[in-house]
Amino acid sequence: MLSAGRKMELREMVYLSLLSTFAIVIHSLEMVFPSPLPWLRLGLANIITLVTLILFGLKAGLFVTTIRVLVGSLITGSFLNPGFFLSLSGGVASTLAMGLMISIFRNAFSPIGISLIGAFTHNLTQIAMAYIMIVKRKEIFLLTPVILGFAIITGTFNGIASSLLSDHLRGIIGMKSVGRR
Amino acid sequence: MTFWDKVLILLLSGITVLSFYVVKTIFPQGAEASIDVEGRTIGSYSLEEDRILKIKGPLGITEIEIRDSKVRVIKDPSRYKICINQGWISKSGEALICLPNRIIVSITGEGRYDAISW
Repeated sequence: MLSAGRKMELREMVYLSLLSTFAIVIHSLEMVFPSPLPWLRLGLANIITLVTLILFGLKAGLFVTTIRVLVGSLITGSFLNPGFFLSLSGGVASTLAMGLMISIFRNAFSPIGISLIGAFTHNLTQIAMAYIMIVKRKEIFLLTPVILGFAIITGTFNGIASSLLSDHLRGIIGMKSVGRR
Repeated sequence: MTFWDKVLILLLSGITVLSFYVVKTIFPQGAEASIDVEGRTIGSYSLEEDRILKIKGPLGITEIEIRDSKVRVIKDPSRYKICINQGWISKSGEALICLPNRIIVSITGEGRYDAISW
């Protein structure tokens, strides 16, 4: 028989695998979904990242994000493309920022606030990386206001979705979670 | 949504609006109106400064107006007034062509991409 601790570990592993799968599917679907401007994305996969952070903590969040970007890029055929590095850097930076928000401020912010910080970090990291790696022209920063304005909308939306999803999942998983609502 | 969420939304909205102004001051629209007479460029004028230019061509004087970062021809000695009917131009690569008077006003400047994709 498995010990209680080992059982817990296995349960977590299964849940993380499922969450990673959801994230990969959302990520890949979003990549093929047409967008009016190529660099505007809704970042729906961020919902899964945030839910993972809330329920399982920072390490799990980073795990899911990295897996998502790696496998997602293999599915969409963008592995090691410039876009892949933008996704990776933005994803890791926003996951770190959101994880820190949760551990530092605990219950001051709802998932909406945390998601907003994630969206901002994600977009600012990406634009900086795009400047360093691809465009190398300062004019790229002309996009900053547009991207930040868009981040407020998507961040709020993703935050509401994460809040609903994490509440729902908490009931199903029945685990002691890291952060509260 | 908690109280601090609302504070954060206000703060981030503020940053967004601020970034708009910062970007606008750091990157002025660098476009210029370049004027050619009989195939030779006689000068470039910033679109940021409103003014009326009187340019002499083989047929007479062509008047060019620069206002609100746009350019148009307001007077031209040609018969069909094609370059006047073209109206305002403002984007890099556009041109007003007053062929009879051999005057071409074209907009030059950087910072315009046809497309960015990744």
